[in-house]
Amino acid sequence: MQTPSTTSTVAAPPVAPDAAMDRADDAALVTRARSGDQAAFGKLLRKYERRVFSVANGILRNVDDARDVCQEAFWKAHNALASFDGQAQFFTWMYRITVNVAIDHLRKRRGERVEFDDARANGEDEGADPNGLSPRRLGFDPVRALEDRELREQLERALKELSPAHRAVLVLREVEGLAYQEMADVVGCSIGTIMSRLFHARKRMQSLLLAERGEVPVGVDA
Amino acid sequence: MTRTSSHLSDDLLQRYHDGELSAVDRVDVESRLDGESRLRLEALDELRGLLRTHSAAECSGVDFASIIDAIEKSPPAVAKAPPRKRRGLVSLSAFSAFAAGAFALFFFLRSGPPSNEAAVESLEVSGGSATVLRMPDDRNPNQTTTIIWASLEEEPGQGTGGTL
Repeated sequence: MQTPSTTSTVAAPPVAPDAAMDRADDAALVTRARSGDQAAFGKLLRKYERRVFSVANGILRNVDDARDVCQEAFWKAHNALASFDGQAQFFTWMYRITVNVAIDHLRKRRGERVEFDDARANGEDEGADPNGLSPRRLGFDPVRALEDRELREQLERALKELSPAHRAVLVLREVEGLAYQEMADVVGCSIGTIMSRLFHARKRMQSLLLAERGEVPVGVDA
Repeated sequence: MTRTSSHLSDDLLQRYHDGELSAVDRVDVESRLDGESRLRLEALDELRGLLRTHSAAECSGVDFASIIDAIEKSPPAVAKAPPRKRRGLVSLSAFSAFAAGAFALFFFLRSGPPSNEAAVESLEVSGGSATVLRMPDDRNPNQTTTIIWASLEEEPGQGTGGTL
C-alpha cells in the first residue's frame, strides 16, 4: 500500500463558477424556447449534452444504452417543454427526465424492478469497514489514472458492482457537482436519503477499489 | 454513519467534503480536523478525482449534433393537457356526471320496480382505475347487467420513470 500523502490539501467545497450568470442565461433560453424558438432549445441541449450523457452513462454503465437514453430524454424534454414551469433549474429538470428514462431503460433491459430498497442496498457493504469511510488512499494521481488501463478497468468493475441508485448519487455529486437539494429534486427523495446513499456508495466504492488493489478494507480481518 | 471515537463523524466530514456546511460550521470542522480525519478527506478527494477523470474520458467523444439538429428543425411542441391533478379532477367530475346520468336513465327506462341489489366495486391500480357495476335483472333472475368503467393515466413528457 502506498503511504498516504500528509501534504495533500483538504478538499475544498465545490464552487460553480459564474453560476448565477449561467442560470440567468438558461432562464432566458428557456423563455425563448417556450415561445417557439427551437434554436434556443438546441442551444440548451448542446450546452448540457455531455452532462446528460454523463448522468445516463453513470447510471447505466453502458455507452450505447446511454446514447439511446439521451436521445429519448432530449425528445421528451422537447415535447414537455411547455409544461416546464421554470421553478427548477433547467439542468435539474433535464437530469430528472434523464434519470427517469434511464430507469425505464433498465426495467426494459433487465425486466426487473429498479425501485431502490435502501435498507437492502445499503447492506451491500456488510463486511466492509464497520467504522465508516476509509482513511486509506489508493495512491493514484487522477490525471495519470487516465492512462492507467488497469485502474480504469478496476474502476469500471467497481462501478458495475454498485446498484443503479448508488451510481446515480455518485455521478450527480462527484462528477456533476450537484448540491444535496438538487440531487433530491432530481432523484425524487429526501436530502437525508441522498446523504445516506452517498455515504454508502462512497464506502462501497472504497471497499471495492481497495479489494481490487489487493488491499483489505479497514476494520476487516485479513 | 458516525464514529464512536473522538474523530469527526463521517456525516460531518461528508457534508464538509461536499460543501454543504455553513461558513461557521466549516471553520469549526477545520479547527477539529485531526490526522485521521484528514486522511479520510483525502481518500474522499481521491475517489472524486478518479470518478471525474473516468467520466471525462467516457464523455470526451459525445456528440448529439444530428439529434439536436433534428429537434431544432421539428415544430415546437404544443402545450400539453392540464397537469395530472387538475386533469384528474376534471375527469372525476365528468365521470361522476356520466355515471349519475346513466344510473338515472337506466332506472327510468325500466318498467318494473328498481332493484336495490346493485353491487359496485372500484379498483385503483398503478396508472389507472376501474369501476364495476353489477345489477340483477328483475325480469330475468338468471341474468345480470354489468357495466365496467376503466380509466388510464399517463405521466406526460417524462416517461414512467419512478423513484430510485
